Amino acid sequence: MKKTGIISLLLIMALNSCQKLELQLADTNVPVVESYLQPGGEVCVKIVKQLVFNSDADSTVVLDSLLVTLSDSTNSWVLENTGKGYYLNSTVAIETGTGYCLTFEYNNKTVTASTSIPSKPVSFEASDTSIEAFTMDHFTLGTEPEMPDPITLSWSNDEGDYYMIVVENIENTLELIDSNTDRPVRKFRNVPTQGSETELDAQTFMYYGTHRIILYHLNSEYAALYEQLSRSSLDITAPPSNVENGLGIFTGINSDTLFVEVI
Amino acid sequence: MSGILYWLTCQNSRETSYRIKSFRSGHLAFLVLMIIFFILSGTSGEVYGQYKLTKEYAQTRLDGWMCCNLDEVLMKISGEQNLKFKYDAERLARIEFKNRIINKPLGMFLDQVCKDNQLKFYMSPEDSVIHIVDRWFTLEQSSIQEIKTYTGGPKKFNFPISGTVIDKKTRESLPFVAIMPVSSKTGTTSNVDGYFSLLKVPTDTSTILFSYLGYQPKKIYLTPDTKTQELIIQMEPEAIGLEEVIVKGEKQDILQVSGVQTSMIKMSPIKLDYIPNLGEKDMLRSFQLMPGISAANENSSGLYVRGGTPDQVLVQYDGFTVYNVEHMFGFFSAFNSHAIKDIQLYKGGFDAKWGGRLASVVEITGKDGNQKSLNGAVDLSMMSVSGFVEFPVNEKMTVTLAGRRSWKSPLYTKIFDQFTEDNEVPMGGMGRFGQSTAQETKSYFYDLNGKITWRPNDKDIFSFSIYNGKDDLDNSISPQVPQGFPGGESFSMDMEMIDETNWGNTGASLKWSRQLSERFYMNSLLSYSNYYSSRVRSTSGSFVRGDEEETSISRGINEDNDLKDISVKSDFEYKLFENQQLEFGFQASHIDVDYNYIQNDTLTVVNRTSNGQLYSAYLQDGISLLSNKMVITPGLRLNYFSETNKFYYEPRINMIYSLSERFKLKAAAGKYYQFAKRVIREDITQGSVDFWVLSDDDLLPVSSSNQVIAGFSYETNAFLLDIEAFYKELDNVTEYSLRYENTRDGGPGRPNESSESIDYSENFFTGTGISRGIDFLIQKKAGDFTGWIGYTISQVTNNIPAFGNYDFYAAHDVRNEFKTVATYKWHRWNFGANWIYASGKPYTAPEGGYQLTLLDGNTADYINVSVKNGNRLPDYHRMDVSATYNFTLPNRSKASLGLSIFNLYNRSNIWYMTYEIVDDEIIETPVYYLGITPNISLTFKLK
Repeated sequence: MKKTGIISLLLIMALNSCQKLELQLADTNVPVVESYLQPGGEVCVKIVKQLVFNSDADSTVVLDSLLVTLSDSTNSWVLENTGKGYYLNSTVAIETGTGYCLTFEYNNKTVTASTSIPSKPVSFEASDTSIEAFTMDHFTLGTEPEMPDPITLSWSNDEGDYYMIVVENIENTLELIDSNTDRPVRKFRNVPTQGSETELDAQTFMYYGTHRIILYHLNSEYAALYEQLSRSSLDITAPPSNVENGLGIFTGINSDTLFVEVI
Repeated sequence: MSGILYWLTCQNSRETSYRIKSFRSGHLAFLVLMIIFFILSGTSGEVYGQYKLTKEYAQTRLDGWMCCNLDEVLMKISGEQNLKFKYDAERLARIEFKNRIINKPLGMFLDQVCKDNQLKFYMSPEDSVIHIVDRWFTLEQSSIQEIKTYTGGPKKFNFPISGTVIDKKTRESLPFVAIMPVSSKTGTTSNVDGYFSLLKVPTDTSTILFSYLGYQPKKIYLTPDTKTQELIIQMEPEAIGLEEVIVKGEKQDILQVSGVQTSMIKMSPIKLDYIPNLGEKDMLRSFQLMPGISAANENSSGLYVRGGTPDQVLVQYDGFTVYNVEHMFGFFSAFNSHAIKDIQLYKGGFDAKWGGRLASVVEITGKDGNQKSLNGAVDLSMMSVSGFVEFPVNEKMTVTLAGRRSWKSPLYTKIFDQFTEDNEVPMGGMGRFGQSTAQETKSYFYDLNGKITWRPNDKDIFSFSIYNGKDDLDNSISPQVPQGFPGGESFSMDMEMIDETNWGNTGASLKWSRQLSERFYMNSLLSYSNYYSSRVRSTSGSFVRGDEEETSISRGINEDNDLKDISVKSDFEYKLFENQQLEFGFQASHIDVDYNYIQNDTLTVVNRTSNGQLYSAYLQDGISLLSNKMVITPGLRLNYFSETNKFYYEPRINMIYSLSERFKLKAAAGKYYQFAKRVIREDITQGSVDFWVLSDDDLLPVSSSNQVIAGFSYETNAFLLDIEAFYKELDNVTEYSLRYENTRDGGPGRPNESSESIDYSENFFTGTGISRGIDFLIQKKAGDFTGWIGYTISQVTNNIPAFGNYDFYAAHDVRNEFKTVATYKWHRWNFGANWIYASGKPYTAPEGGYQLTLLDGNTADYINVSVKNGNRLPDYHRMDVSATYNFTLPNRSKASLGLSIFNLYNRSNIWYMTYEIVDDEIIETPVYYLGITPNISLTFKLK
């Protein structure tokens, strides 16, 4: 009897603790948000449902008819659902340095995301306005090819913020530098950097002509999108997202633009 | 048999001087030892020991001219006084003695003679023979009463006895031997040097039981004439199958739950043959067969104890801390069982003597070495070759050396491939050169142990222990691509793809133990421990074009972790009263941890250098209450950590209450802090990388735990039922996430990498955890058939705010774990089998996906994962069997041949899952642990 009592006591002690566990249950019904706020740009938010693996749904389900609001510290705007999961508002003037919050209800949860608009890049400069295309003429048998000088892009970044370069050929008629190029790209980028300069080598350009170079000033939530996801159960981690009770990205951006000629 | 013998120990000053001279040119360590000893000898001047000639004999007066050697002198005395002497006549004949003795008592005369000539004497009272022997002579086993011959009543009550427990064959001291008067409820244990002191023996006709795992229990029958100090108790190992006769006494199981300490398990290394193994006799793996220690970890010989992680286990080898206990990616432990004398594991609730870890303590004592003669053994298994040798240098000094090295057997290759299946050599860029040289991977591990023990006198023991072990994996490729070009100009290139991983430990300790008095014992230790791991994956090389200078290129990663721990500590045991034993001590440690991660030879991603001092002091008091029914040990450990500039108090308490001789209640509680912790970055495809870091006040706060343990045990001579429940709260649990790791793959428009800085400090996340459960153990511990059934029900949850506002199961959470172990001894055969069942471990799996359009217009796919550790792998189970045949070689050396089969029924246990997304469908592919794996081992022993 005494032993039974002791065993019972031990069981009670071990299995009942003071803290009630809130072990979260799996819930695959999660909204995915995609929105970039830029000064001068229209507010556009896209909301879809995550595609659940091995489920019957074989394509992305958009989420319409939600009450989506955008707010800053003083105002609040309801976004208009235009179908296909898009919610717009062209009356909001997005301002640099302002913080914005996105809110809507879905699946009995309040989905929220907040961001602020980074400043416009300062002192964005290129070392040259043109760059010599890297062609087969640069190759001489038996010697190392002589590389054309790269273009150095620089900007001011005392705070160690994230910046990203996107380069796009804007010619109406495209002319390939090397006709043998396999799957040429018209637009390319680097990944977000916290540095204040980057180099564009000649061989990264695949077309002749005018290229628009956009320097984006980014928030860290966007930089996080470039993380690599593991594919093993031992170290797999949740995807980067600044959306609470949801997935995706809601972020402010700002940019400046330069043009470079590939000749 | 013979009666009770009395001792006389003579202090000999000439002996001391001689030793000092002979070691002056020796090793620095010995010099230090000698200086200490010199100071000691110079200051103490104590003549210790005692002798008991009967009064009549002691007062016998000698008179006259004594000449010319001791043999002749003793013969003369014997003739004149009608005394009987027994001694080595040849030796004593060489000792010159010319002196005029005037009315000198015999006792005083013998005292003087012995003192001058490294001798001692004792007298056996029943035949009144005075034996004169070498001062290092120890009592033979037969000289202590092992059968009850005395039938009279007791003359003394509640008196103390003390002495040392040693191995009969090797004369090595035996640590942590349980010593208990048979009629009493409480006893004591010998300390790490085999010394014991029982302050309250009920009567001088009591029987005292000595029991030690792996040895035959021994009963000593006291009589009123038994000496009470400096007893030498010799114990004999259990026969390992060679003896055909039935061995006296009870045989005991390989693992034993302590009856005097909550949550403590002892193991006998000499019985490792009895249980199946995976290629190596592995002591730490054997512990995994006990409840409360997770066994479903084929890739970790580190211990997951009651919801803790391996870095929360303090592993002490001869006093120095070992920071990494794994060989071969964790499949084997880093300790050679040949070098180990004793191993104890505290699953929790450990004493104030230990600190710096949250979960548990493993205390390993290395072999001192055979004091009688040369001994050695060689083991050949499918994994490694190991051997050891032990020998006495002289009467005072013994040496043990042990070594082990892996060899590239099919088993080694199988395990290696298992781990490195996806670890393909980085071939990036190789195709450009048109040639590549496939090179076989070179890999090995080794470990070495050495220990020198020096006993300059009966009171002091000095020992120097050293350990060095290393794992080396070299996956490098170095193709040579010489190319000549038509046109005169030559072009040559040397490329090297380096992929090297190595890790290892070096540890050493210098220990001085001194019996300050019968009640007071001291252990002082100076220790050094270094753990390092290094990983280099790079492509480097150079090319030369024509007459131009060589151009070098280099890309890759370089990751280094280096931990150094220099400690000095002193532990004291003081028997304050018969029912109270004080233990106190202090420790000062300097810990230096560097972690360095460099990309492309120039970009330093992390360079974390930290060092700190930890000062600790503790006091604990073992108090026997209620007529020894209850032993309660309160203790307090106080730490000061320089990195945080704070004090940390750790109150502890341990309690045993004997409801009856068989039924004991146990409880323990305490607070524990951890200052250095290991962070694991699992990396299966490239080999797991973990690194030690030192806590600070900022990113890596000092971890702590509060533990409560309660349970009981019911024990008969043959069976043991032991149940313990535990509840543990953890604070500042640190996890490392792979975010921001190695992701800046530039692609087109590669950024200027030198301007990048990635803040790895973001990757440390801290939170809290709770671990709770119950361990059940039923053990048949004696007889030819032994074994146990163990079961643990437990739950380990963590809460890390950065991962979400919810609790999640820890990665090592196992709900139910069942183990059964059986060993059977039949003639020359030992058979063993074990079966393990464990609930599946939690894991995180992808549950869905989505696409985002990025600023460059491209889309990126993202996988959304389930709640952290929200899924469970299938249950784990496997059976292992073994058979060992013991035989004798023609030269009378012992040998054994063992066959062991791991995972007998070839169960496919899942290690982890890998994922591939194909057409929006997820393909989940399991990676399995080892399938059926046989192993053969062969052991030769000199003795």
